Amino acid sequence: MKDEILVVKNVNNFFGRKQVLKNVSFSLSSGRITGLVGANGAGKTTIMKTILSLTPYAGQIMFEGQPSTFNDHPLLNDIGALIEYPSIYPFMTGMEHLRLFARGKVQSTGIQSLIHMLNMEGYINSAARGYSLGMRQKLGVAMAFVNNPKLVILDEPMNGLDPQSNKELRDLIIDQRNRGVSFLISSHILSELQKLAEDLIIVDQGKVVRQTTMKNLLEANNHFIVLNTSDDKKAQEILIAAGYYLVSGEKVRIKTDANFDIAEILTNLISENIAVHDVKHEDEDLEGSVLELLNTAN
Amino acid sequence: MWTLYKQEVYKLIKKKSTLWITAILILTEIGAATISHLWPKTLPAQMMFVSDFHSAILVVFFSLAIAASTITMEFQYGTIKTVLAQKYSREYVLISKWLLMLTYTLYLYVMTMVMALFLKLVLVNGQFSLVEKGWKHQFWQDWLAAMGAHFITLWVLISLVLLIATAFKTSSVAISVGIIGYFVLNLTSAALFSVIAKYPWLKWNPLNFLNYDHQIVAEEFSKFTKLTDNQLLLGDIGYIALFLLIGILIFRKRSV
Repeated sequence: MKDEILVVKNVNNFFGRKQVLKNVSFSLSSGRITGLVGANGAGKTTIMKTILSLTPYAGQIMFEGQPSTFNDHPLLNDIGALIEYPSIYPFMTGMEHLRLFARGKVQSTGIQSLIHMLNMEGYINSAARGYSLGMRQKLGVAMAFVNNPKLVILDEPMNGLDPQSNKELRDLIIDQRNRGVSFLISSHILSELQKLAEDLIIVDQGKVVRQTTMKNLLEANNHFIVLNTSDDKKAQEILIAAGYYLVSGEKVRIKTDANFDIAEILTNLISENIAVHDVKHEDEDLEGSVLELLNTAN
Repeated sequence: MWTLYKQEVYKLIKKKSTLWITAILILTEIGAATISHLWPKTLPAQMMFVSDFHSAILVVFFSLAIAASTITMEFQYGTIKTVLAQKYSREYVLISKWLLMLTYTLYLYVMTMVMALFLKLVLVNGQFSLVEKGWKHQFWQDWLAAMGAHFITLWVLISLVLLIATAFKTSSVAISVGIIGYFVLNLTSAALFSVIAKYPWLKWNPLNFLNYDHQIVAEEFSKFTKLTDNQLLLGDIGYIALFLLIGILIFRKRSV
């Protein structure tokens, strides 16, 4: 485990009488991308707002070993964030937004580089009231990066982005990660998150259900072998009789574990004169894993 | 703190309304001074000059609107999250907005007063002299005192509007309270004074303190307000501090 940049310990949060975060504890490793995953209302945005001191809380938050409280949070100097939807002043241009929140004189080259990486040159000097959802989202992302933060918190950053913009954002995140920036990212688009996140925090009903790495979670997933044979129906019967677990359907889809032996499967079929034309490996994706985990938790 | 203040100034400068307000105030003064120049008996220049050629009342309306929007726009646009997700405490965030309003109202007063002086010299210079006897001292001294009292009285309303904007997060409520408060005083002052005459302790209510700018111009007001000029000044400052303090107490625990 690398150094921890952020530690959240026993954080509780209430909206009126309703408790929305229940003893939330987790840590973020320095220089890694952490995905924050959970259903709507699970508490993802509230966790992010709590770190940013946007909502009062009870508990402990430490950034690089230094404590942070609701009223005293110098840590926010090193954190960039996009929460819920981009905060945009309609009467200002995108460039003016970046200049407004940029600190110090060294920022102008950084601003130009961000604009270039997010391909915003075409509209950055137009009034933001005319921006589309995707343009606003990109501006919000750029604002999160403008002060060279050590930690970037992004809440649903892919919202409203087209595939090209999605890729630009992904490239920016990976580029920044390679420079040592840490990330906490929530997204409903788990396939996108799967391409980025190295660590995962899974939340449900205000609690952290699990903190793990993407590798560990996916390795614990279900794996399948899909066969294309000369007689799929007969092949299914043979394999079931041999004790394999097959997923119901027309295809020969065998659920396996890490210790399976493909040679044994093929021998079973060839000995019964079934020709095997193709063999494919399939892994359950992040979405399947998360759904299974949440179902187990409930 | 300085960074927050600079951010507030930057936002205000980028609003188109900031330019329009200056233009409207200048045009109003030019219009009123021109009318006074053409019909000096109907609209005496000296009377018009005391209110900076009718721009003073517009300064009240514009200041109240800007005060309300400087807070409520952050909630309306969702930008309050970006503003608060900086290293600064919430107290500093709110104080930077007060300082912006202080700067902006000072700008409006100085700008309209300088313009009034310029128009006096150019259009109505022959109608009165700045060094002639005013209602207490020399006319220019009384004019400055009246403007100062007007500024303090406006700030009582501004602090109330800032408090309401912080509490309710909507401009319309905050601006309405400020403007209605301004007019209610003028409409109900007779009733207020008769109640104060009957129950003297009611002279300490904030509405009575909004008479400061009237009393500076017309000394006989003190018979009705039952307060001296200094008591009104100190009371106004006290109410400004109270309203701003309540605003901080609300804002420091607000979830956004």
